[in-house]
Amino acid sequence: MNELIFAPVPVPGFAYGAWAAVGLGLMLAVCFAVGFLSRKKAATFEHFLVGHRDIGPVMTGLALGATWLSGWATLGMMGVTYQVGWSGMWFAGIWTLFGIIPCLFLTGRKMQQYSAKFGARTVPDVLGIRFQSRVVQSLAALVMIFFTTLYAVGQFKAGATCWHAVTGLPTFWCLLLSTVVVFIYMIVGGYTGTQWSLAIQGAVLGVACFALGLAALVFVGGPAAMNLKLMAENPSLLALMRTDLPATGNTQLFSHPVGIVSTFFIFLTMAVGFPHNVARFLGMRKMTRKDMMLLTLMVFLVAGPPIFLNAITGLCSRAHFGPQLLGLAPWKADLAAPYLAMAAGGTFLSTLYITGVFAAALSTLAGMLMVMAGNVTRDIIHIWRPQTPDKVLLKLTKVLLAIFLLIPFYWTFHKPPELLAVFMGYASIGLGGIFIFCTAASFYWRRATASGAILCMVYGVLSTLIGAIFTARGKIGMGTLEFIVLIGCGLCYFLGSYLQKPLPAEKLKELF
Amino acid sequence: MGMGWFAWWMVIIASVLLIVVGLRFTLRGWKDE
Repeated sequence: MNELIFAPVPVPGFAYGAWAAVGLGLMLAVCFAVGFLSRKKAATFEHFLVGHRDIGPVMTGLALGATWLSGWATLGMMGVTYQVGWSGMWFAGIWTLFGIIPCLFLTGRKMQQYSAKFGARTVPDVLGIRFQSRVVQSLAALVMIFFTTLYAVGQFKAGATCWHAVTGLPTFWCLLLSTVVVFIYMIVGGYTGTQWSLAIQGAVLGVACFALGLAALVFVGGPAAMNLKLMAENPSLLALMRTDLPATGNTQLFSHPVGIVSTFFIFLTMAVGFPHNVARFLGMRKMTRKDMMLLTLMVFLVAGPPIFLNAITGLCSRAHFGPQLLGLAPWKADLAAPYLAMAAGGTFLSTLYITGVFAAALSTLAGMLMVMAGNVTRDIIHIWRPQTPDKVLLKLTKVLLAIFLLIPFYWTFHKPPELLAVFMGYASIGLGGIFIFCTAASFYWRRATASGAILCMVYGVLSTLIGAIFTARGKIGMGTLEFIVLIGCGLCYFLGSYLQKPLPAEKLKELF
Repeated sequence: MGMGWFAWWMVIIASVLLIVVGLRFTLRGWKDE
């Protein structure tokens, strides 16, 4: 098509791999140290889940940033803009703050209050208290487990992609390396100090993405030079909407107004929908005005500028490497950022970046696994069989952590997702569509009842699953699916709530 | 510089505005005990 000559793809080598291992080892060591220090304190089941409810705003803010940002943010986003150009920006995290800030403002204080006032330990627990319904609590737990398992698959692929970039090893070994890191992290006890370890990881991933974004831009010769190179390869890479791509399937997110508008709503609802995000407030101390401001600032620093730059990193990678990476199966476009880190910054930047990706993937996984294990023990077993001893629950939680870790590993190995961000997008559509209503709206709408929440959850899961099949077959667009799920969930929730009498006035007074 | 960069900056500005307005709204009537 053109005679442009692109820079060669970096050659993996021992130095890259060794330094990446050192960087990762250092971060894990710090997390373990922190985990170990807080380990003795987590003697009871309750402490294991929420700590001592004394965590301050800086730690909570960093931890929230870390669980919000995953392998999608640190690797998948660059893959999207690399693959489609500027039009990918909408789906590549540009709405990051429109997701996490409403989550903070709408649910932060309420969650903290439910934890302090009613002793809520998990997100379904909060919903069970709000709706005075064990069915809502258990159903919410199941829905969260289902979608977070999907989301976990993405974290494994992100880690494995990095290992492939620096070592050049075959898929199986990269996945195994990635899994070993996760297992060591979980087993040695990184997760016991969850909030603290997460906070460290939030800081690391923020610095890493920010540094890579700036280095990438300087490396390709600045903003104007980047655009010129993209233009030379293919002018449609510069378009904000790529009308040359199919208007159905997942490309709708880049090619059609419905898809592009939907990216805003996917992000807007997603953070509230992620139980591992919302759960961060459960361990927090009572918030003052100053705490809230500090919390907002920390979230902005981790989830703002570094993520805005991610879209740019992907574009720089396309400008530098051209379409070459698309031919490197099974990693393809997701290699955009790791390779650019190697080309633009050598061992130092690639080490920092890979540590950042693992920080993001591990923190999200750790947050999710805690949610999944806690959901089964606390929200399903404990509420239906309260006589189960605390010790058994704690042991069971740890066994479940291992099981929930194996499922996504097997899945990623068996059938790695094509483009990371798109795959994780489905889980976000489902979780966001359901819990923006069941969690956020329920904190403010007194008339909400269990019947509305149950209908909303059932509809949300079914419509996402069936819709995903239709989207994959190109029958509908992924943006259309977002609206089908979101609007349908809203209707089920609001109309369904009227099928049942509201909670008694005195109960509502206590809750609101 | 192109439409891409323009849109990119616009979203960033809108995000900062969201924080400022949201924080103001959230802190309204907030009493420290």
